[in-house]
Amino acid sequence: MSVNRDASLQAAGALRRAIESASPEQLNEVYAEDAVIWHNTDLVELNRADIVAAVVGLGAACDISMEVRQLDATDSGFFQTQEWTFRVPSGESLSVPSAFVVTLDEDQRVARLDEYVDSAALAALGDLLAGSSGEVPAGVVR
Amino acid sequence: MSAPAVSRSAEGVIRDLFAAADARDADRSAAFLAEDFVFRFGNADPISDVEAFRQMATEFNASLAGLRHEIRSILATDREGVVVTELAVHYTRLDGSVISLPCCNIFALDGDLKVTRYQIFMDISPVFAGEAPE
Repeated sequence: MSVNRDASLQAAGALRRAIESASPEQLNEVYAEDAVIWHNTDLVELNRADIVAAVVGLGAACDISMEVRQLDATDSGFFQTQEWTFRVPSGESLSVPSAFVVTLDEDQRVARLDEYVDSAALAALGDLLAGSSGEVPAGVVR
Repeated sequence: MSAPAVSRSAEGVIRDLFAAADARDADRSAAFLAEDFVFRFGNADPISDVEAFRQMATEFNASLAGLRHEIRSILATDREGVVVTELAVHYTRLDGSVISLPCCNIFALDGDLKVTRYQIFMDISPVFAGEAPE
């Protein structure tokens, strides 16, 4: 399958907006029903319900924003690097760089997302969230 | 416009670069870099000086008994000269134990097929913490 740049940019924008909103409706729209979401830090493959629950939980604990640093179309989807910013109600925030390798399906939904991130950054996020609410949303910080 | 296939020459350069890294030869690795390059490993500060690159590579190589890059995929992008690789990197620690970790690299090559950008996205900490992700 070959994905054109416009379709890739559109899908990447929809993904960013869905994650930043932490809206289950938007998240369910951008991920394919059988989507697989994988992180290099634990090698676990999450399904759509897992990732939607994780992002919704994270969004309840903090504001999520994503500054896209690089976005390139590939034949199967897109490659994107970004700087996440997580801001808790106290005003404290943490920035975490990561990279996405995304495969889109024929409907331009995310069929697979591999995220590469440094575990030290995730540990810091866990500390930030635990310090803010005493709870860390399951499925996000491993 | 869809992404062009990775040119055979660009792919060859990247494979040769990984072979140089696996040989743990800092000078050979540095020879792939353009004069105007940026190297960044994870969240570490970027390096754009070739001597600093050699020193970093030499110190990193000395911290390991072996290194092998297994390329899982090489993805062309729609930006000329920009290539993404997904790998399993097999590290042999000084005590002889081996750990394999996933890695994603992004390269930008100039018209002379020299590397102007070499960025590594991975979690290297298990290599030195003595733990593998479960």
